[in-house]
Amino acid sequence: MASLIPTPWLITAGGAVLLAATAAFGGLQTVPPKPVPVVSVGEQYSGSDLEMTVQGVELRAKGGNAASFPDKAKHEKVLAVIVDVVNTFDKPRLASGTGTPSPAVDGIHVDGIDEKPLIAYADGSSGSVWLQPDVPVRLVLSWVVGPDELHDGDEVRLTLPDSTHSVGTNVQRGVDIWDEVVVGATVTTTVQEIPASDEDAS
Amino acid sequence: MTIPTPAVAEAPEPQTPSPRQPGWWRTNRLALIALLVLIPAIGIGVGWNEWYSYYGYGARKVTAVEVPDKGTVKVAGAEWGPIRSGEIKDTSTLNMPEGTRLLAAIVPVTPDGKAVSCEPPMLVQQSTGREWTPMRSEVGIPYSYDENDTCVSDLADEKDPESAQPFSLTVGFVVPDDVTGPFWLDVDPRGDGRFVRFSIDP
Amino acid sequence: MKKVLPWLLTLVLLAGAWVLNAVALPDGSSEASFLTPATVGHAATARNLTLTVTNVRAARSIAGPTGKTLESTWVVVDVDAEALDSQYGATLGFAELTVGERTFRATERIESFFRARLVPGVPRSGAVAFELPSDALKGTGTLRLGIPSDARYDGLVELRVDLGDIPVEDAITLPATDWTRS
Repeated sequence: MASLIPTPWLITAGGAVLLAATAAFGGLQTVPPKPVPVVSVGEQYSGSDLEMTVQGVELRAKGGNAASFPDKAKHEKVLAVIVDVVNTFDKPRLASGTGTPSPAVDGIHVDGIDEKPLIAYADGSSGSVWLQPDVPVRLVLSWVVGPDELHDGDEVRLTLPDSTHSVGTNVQRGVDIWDEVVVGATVTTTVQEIPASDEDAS
Repeated sequence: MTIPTPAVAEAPEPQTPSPRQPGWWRTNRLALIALLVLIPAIGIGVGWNEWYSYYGYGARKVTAVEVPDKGTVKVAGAEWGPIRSGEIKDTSTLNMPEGTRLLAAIVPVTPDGKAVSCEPPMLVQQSTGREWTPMRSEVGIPYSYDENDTCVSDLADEKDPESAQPFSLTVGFVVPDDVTGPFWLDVDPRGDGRFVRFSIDP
Repeated sequence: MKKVLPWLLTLVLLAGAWVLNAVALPDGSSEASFLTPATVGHAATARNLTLTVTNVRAARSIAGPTGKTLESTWVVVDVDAEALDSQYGATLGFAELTVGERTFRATERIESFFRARLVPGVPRSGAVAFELPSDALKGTGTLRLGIPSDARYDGLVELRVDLGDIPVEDAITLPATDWTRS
C-alpha cells in the first residue's frame, strides 16, 4: 500500500528549512568569539548583575583595612585592589561567591594569581560583605604575595567576571544562582606601592 | 427465505447448584496478606530511617541518663557530677533586668582519657519544658579562663590525646521570677544519643 | 444528547482546568513563612518569639557603640524582643525590609540587635539598621523580623511602614543591645 505520508518530501523540506535558517544566522561556519571588552581604571563594568569600577591596585607592606595578613617574618606583602561595587539585583547578595571561578566580586582575578581574593569593606567595617540592592560600596580585595613577586610600577591585568542568573528548580529550589562564569572584561593598570611608613600615617 | 425452525427446548437438567465462583477475598488472599505485611513494614522502615537520620549519630539528645542526687554518672567517656547549684542573690554589681533571677550551676567533669566535647548545658523547667542557655557577658560577668560554659579539651601532655584533665562547667542562667523549679540541667556530650540530666531546684 | 456529551464534558474540564490554574498559589508557597502582622508599639507573636517594634526612623548616618559612623541612607528600627519556649538557637536571625521590587537585609557593618540572643520570658532591646539607596525612602516598605535565618516553614513578624512618612534625622546612634528597661 502506498505510503499516505510523503516521507521523502517531508525530509527534504525539513532539510531545506534548516539550511535556510542557518543561512539567516550567518551560515554553518563557526562564529569567531567576540573579543572581551577592555575597561580602564575608573570605568564601570556590568557583569553578574554587579556594577564594578576598579579604582586602583596597591601593593602594601601592611594589610591596613584589607582582610589579608602578610607574614612580616617572610617579608610578604599584600596586593590590594580597590573596587566600587553596586549590586543591581533586587535582593541582597554576598560579595563572595562559591566555587572557582566565582561569579561574584571575588571573581575579579589577577593574571598570575590563582586564588580568590579576600574581601573587606574599605572603611574597615567588620563582618561578611553583603551587597544591598543599588547601594554603592567601596571594597578592598586582597591577596598575600611574596616579597619579590610584584614591584611598584609593574603592570597587572585584572579580569572581571560575568555570569548568567537563574533560579534553582530542583534541590536548590528558589535559590538565586549565578553560573556559567566567563571573563566579562579586562582591566590593565600599574601597581602602586604604598611604603610602610605612609600606611602608618594614614 | 425460510423461517428457521426454532430449537427444541431441551428438558431442563436436574437442578444442581452451579459451582460457586470463589469469593473476592479468597481469590485475593495472597495479595491481601502481602499488603498486611508490607504496609506496616514500609511504615516502620521509612519511619525508622527518618528518625535515625535526625536523631542518630549522637547528634541530638535522645535518652536521658538521670544522675542520682549528689551523685555522678559515667556517659560518653567521662564522669559527670556531683552538681552544685543555687541562685546568685547578690546581683548588685551585675547587669540584671528587673523581675529575673540568676541561677548558677557548677558541674565537675572528669574525662576517662580522651577529651570530651559537648553542647553548652541547658536549664529546663520540668513542668513546662521551657529551656534556657547559659549567659555570661550579657549580665556583665567578665570572662574567666577557668570558668567554661562548654566542655574543654585540656591535655596534661600536648602529645598524648589520652591525658585529658578534669574541668568544671560553670554556667549561669537568666530566668524570669515566675519560673519556679524543679529544673533539669541537661548536658549533651557529643558522640552519643544519651545525655546527662541533673535534677536541681535552686 | 450522546453526541453532545463528550463535547460538554470537554468544556467542563477545560473550564475547571482554567479555574484551577487561576487560583493556584505560586511555586514555593508550601514553604512560605507564617506571617504575624504587627503595628508599631504593639507586641506580636510568631514561633518562639514575641516582638514589639517601638520606633521606625530614618537617618543619613548612624553610629555604633564604638563610635564608628557610617554615612548612607538608613532606616533604623527599634525593637524589644523575647523568646517564648526555648533559648536554644534563639537569636534575631531574620531581618528584611522589602521596598517595591527590592529587598534589603539588616546591616552587619555595625553592631546592632541583628543576631542578638533572645531569652525566654526576659525581653531585650536594641535596634536594627537597613542600608538603602538614596532614592528609596518612599512608598510602603514591608519589614519582616524573626528568629531563623532561613525562614521557610517558620514564623515571622511583619510590619508595614510608610517610608515617606518617617522622620529623617541627620545622625542616629544605635542603642546598645541590652535588657529592656521600662
